[in-house]
Amino acid sequence: MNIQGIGTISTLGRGSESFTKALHQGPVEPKIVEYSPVTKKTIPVFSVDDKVLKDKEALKSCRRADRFCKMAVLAAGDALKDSGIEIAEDEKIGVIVSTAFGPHQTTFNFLDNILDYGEANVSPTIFSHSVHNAAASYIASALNIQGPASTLTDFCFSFSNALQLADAWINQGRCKYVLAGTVDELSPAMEYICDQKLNISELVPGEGSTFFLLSAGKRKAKYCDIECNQSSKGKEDDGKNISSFNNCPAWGWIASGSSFYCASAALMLKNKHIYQNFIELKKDVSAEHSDNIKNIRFFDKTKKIVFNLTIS
Amino acid sequence: MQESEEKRLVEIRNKLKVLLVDHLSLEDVKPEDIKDDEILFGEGLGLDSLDAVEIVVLLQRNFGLEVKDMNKGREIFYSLDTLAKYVAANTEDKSE
Repeated sequence: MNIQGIGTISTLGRGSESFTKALHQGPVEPKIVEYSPVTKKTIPVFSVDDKVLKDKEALKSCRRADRFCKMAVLAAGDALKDSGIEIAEDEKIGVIVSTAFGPHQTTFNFLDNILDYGEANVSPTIFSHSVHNAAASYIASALNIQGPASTLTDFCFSFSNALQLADAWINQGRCKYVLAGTVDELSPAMEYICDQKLNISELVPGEGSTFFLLSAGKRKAKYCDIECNQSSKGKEDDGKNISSFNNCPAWGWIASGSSFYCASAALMLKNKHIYQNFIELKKDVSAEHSDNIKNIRFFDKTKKIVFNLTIS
Repeated sequence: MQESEEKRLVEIRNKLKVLLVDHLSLEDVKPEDIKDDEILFGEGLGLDSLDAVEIVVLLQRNFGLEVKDMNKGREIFYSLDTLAKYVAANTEDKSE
């Protein structure tokens, strides 16, 4: 498949331009937030600034949307816009939202509603937004997309699953393009879990959304070709590898963060520049000969999945 | 007597305005922007059917009122004023 457009929302801002600019500039300091008013415990996070999510035009049909849905709609809309492709009315675009945890803040609000008011008096808006597929519906509605839509959750493997499904849809002819991406959010509950329950004290949790407009491989790519396959042992050091643990000092630890690595790799290939400030590169890639870079390959946490991005 | 009823109606209207803004995600609308006789649906505040269900839940939670008859609901939900009058007529005045 070819990457025709990229949209990103993260602590680095909104859009591939601000993402590229931030990668050039170098790491920023995380924010310190208090996740519990009772214990006054704090944690450093890479959160998305609320101002970044204010866009009346792009979110005009999203009055009730929660933070999770807004991030997804903005990133998906930006990916479509970035492609510059005019979609004809009869052309179908698929939507695949992948997420490690879904809209968990809204899910907790829903549970709080039950505890506070009883199950008969839960807000219908909160209930309807607590389902994982709400973001895909908002994207389809906001961008007037006709085509298949699906939401996948598989923790760290969410994005690789999304790419594989997108590939299947395009190959089957179900749609000409697919908007595939990830979205995950921070919340006091997630910050508590990261600080107290998970053994990830060296990681700074982050949030955000990245979407790609993908087309069949035979089309000319605006960015590059992307493949996602099962890795076989012995090929891990073949080529130019990025060690990926879904964590990055730029956007933090996002369980579905392999999409951000794909976005940065696509931008590195397009811009012929290696952003070593952020991404741990193995020996075969360096800034000195980045002009020749044609291929970036990296592995997910368990190294069972390999993402392969190539520019022709 | 009439004066205290009007005072109570003003209090209910103000409470409803705050509830609507807080729970219906009305962007760029402040409670004080809503007129006392503001029409709630269509050309007024622009609310829709999901908002109507949300208002049913708000009435239950905050005033203990159940609106089951949707034909009656049309009259009650017509404007902020009709909504406030329904609340006033069906709840006790605790200030007395």
